Amino acid sequence: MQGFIVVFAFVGLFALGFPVVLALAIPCVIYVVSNGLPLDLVAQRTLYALDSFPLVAVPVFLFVGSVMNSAGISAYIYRFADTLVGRLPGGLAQVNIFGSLIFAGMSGSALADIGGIGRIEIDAMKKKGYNRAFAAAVTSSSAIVGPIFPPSIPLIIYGTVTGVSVLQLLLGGILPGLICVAGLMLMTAWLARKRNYPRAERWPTMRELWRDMLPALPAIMAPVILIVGMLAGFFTPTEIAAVTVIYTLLISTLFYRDLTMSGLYSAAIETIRASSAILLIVSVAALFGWILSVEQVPQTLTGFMLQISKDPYVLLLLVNVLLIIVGMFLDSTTAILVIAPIIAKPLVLAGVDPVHLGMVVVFNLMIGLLTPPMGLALFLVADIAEVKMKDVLREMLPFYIPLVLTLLLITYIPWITTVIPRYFLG
Amino acid sequence: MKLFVTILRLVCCLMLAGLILTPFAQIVLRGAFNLPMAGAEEMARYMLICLTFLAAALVSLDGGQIKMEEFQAMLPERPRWLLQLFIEMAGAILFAVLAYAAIGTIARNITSRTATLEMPFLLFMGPLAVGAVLLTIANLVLLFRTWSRGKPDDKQTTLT
Repeated sequence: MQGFIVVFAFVGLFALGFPVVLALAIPCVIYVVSNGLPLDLVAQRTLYALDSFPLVAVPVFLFVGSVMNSAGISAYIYRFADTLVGRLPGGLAQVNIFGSLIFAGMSGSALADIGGIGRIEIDAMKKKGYNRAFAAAVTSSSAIVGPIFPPSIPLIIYGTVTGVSVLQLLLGGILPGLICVAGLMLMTAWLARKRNYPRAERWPTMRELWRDMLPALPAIMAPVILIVGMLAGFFTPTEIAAVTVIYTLLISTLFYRDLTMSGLYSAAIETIRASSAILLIVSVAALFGWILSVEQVPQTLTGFMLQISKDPYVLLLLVNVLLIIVGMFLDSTTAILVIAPIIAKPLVLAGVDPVHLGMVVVFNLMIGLLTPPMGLALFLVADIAEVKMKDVLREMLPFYIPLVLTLLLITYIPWITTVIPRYFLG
Repeated sequence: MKLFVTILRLVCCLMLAGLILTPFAQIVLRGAFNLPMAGAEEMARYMLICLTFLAAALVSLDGGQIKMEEFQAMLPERPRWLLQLFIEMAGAILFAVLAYAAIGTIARNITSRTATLEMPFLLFMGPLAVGAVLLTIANLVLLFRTWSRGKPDDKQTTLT
């Protein structure tokens, strides 16, 4: 009972506008004090939650995204994407989606994508006469590929919280990421034909393709190095994060030569700020998770869920409905930290693969970035595109279809997620 | 205050550099020289702890802690101001309790050391104690600012 009180207290404080850290920590500290437990427990749980090597990858991958934006690498990726897919129906909207896929291969954050390459894409679409709200909708919906395709900050956090292999989770994101991109491109093509959006006048010649691919090649090689390194088992996810940063710094200074010292410092400060905000929640959530487990909240929920059905597909449907609602109100990091420890046990007991479940949870919460009232991606993109939130939402409506279809595919065809990790890691 | 923030930022930048260079050095030493770096993982984990807790006060002062103020924004000005004061006071008290807990834990385990690097417990848990003290101060500063302003801060859902 006390476990559920802690959960409801968290929800209440969060709704009142308490920062997530306080909303999580206050009920936990009250629980510890009121049960006569030693305060040492609070300090130890909070500290040891961060004593985790996979979590080191979080600030390191965030830094990659920040450096790419500071060094102007996003612009080269955009130009290459423009030449390659600009002729497809929807022109720059397709460029936007394809550019996000390349960016996703280096950065694991949707907001870094929107703030970096997204800004360039929206500006370009506005200049070509695209509706601003449509540009914002395409940018935000394609940005969620960032945390699905490896590397991915939410998947690293999910793996750390649930004890699932981070490497398997990251590899599991490759096919869902590609399917999501294909779905978004198809929807864009359909909308473009219907609304008669402009596109490039002709397909590029090999010469033009080569001309624009060459400057982008070092950036495009980063995801290749990352995925090959993981598939071949050369590096752990944290090591691959460090390699990606060093590689990004090298190409930024030696090849692109656009990275200044002040740009590097800004990227570092931005990374420190974002990392600390996320990881402080991770540390406090460890105490929250411990209380839930002592109070047997996951076990109670397991019994309840298995009473409804023992069929993993029915349970996955329930989880999807729950996560869509949760994703509307909680940011993805908090939602993973609060929900994953509770739902993982019943689902795995019912026979759901833990890597598959991780992908369902994270993909679902990424859709939550695009749903009001707590759609962080929507806030940011509306700010950049200088449009009203309701206009972005109106343009977003068609894009929810491929996103939800991808979610259903991921949910009901586990093979999509598990085939790559199983093939390479066994 | 400004000098202190600058120093704190530089320390955090050093931690970030360490977080990148330690795993990278481990790969180079292991791959090129077949010399695995003992304690590299522990060192990286420790720098992550330092970065998180030392930077947390800076994040709070910049208003960067993740929160949702959509419901709060529906309140009239006076109750919203009082609620903001209450949140900042609760933050100051909570982090003071955390600092007290961390210092107490250090005092009770002063002779302990970490497994691989044999780091003294004071050093290992120190960042939590220092970070919690800084967070307490940051929340008191925010409380003072809100009190002096006499009206609530504008609604702003934080993007991180």
